[in-house]
Amino acid sequence: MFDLLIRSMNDQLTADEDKQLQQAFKESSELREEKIKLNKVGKLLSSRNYSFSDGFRNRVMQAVSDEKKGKVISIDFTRTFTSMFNRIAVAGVAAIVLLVISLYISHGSLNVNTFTGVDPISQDNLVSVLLYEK
Amino acid sequence: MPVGDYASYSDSELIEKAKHGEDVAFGELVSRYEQQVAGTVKGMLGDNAAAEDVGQETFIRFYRSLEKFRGDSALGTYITRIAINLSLNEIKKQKKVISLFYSRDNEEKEYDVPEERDLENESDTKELVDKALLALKPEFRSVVVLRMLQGYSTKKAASILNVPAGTILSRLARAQKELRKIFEPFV
Repeated sequence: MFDLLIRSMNDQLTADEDKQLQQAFKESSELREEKIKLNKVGKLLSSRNYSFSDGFRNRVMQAVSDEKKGKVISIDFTRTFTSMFNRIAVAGVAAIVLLVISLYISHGSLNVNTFTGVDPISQDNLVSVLLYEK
Repeated sequence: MPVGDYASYSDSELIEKAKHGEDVAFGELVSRYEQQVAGTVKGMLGDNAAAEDVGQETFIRFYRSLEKFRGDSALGTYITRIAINLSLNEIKKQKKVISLFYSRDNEEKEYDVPEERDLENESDTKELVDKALLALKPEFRSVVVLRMLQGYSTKKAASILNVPAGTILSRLARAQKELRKIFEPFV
């Protein structure tokens, strides 16, 4: 019934629902009290008046004047940073892909030695290097 | 022309004048809708500096879109739509900053339910309403601000928030239940 009470405050009830609610009001003092409390909450909220600080209109007009002069009014740092980061990230990924492709074309493979730039050392070569005497 | 003379013009006349570069006409529009925008952004964000900035940004966005405004909806509705969207964006931005520096547990404790006390003076009532609003989730808060603070109809609120009227009603019902709990010690 509480749900119906809340709905009655925001929406049109059907004839049946309205009848049901009116009957419930007659029978339940608790429900009647709830309605009073909900109305009080509504009044508290609607009584809250907000206003901007002094000089708000002048600040807006100054911003509008700046806008006309082509000045940047506000820079949304987060948004700018995010969009710049995305561009840099995409450019970075593209550069890496191009680098990998060029390495593959020049070396014919993509093994560790290709990336480190070290020529493959076979065990035979290593032994000959170690045994080399002047 | 003195500023006072513009007060007699209708919104559409002022818009036409503002489009033709008469800043005083735009200033008159700011004066007319300042209170309404304050109610929307401060209801959404609280009575703080961020809300002042969003309020200012609302009018700047409106100024930029003067040419696009065709008068399909009432000017107040149009400006309120800008204000509510900017407020919701600001809340998202604030949440991002909070989630960068705090754990999820802290985020959930972002808003306090007001402490029990007598509402003897006006400032106590204001503080209580502000805290109660901020205790609501933004999607519920926006509905409460539009319906209960600004007095928009369910249909208008639905068009401003771009959601079905049924969604407005269900969100409002949930918000009222939560508000009822929050205000329990005071009513």
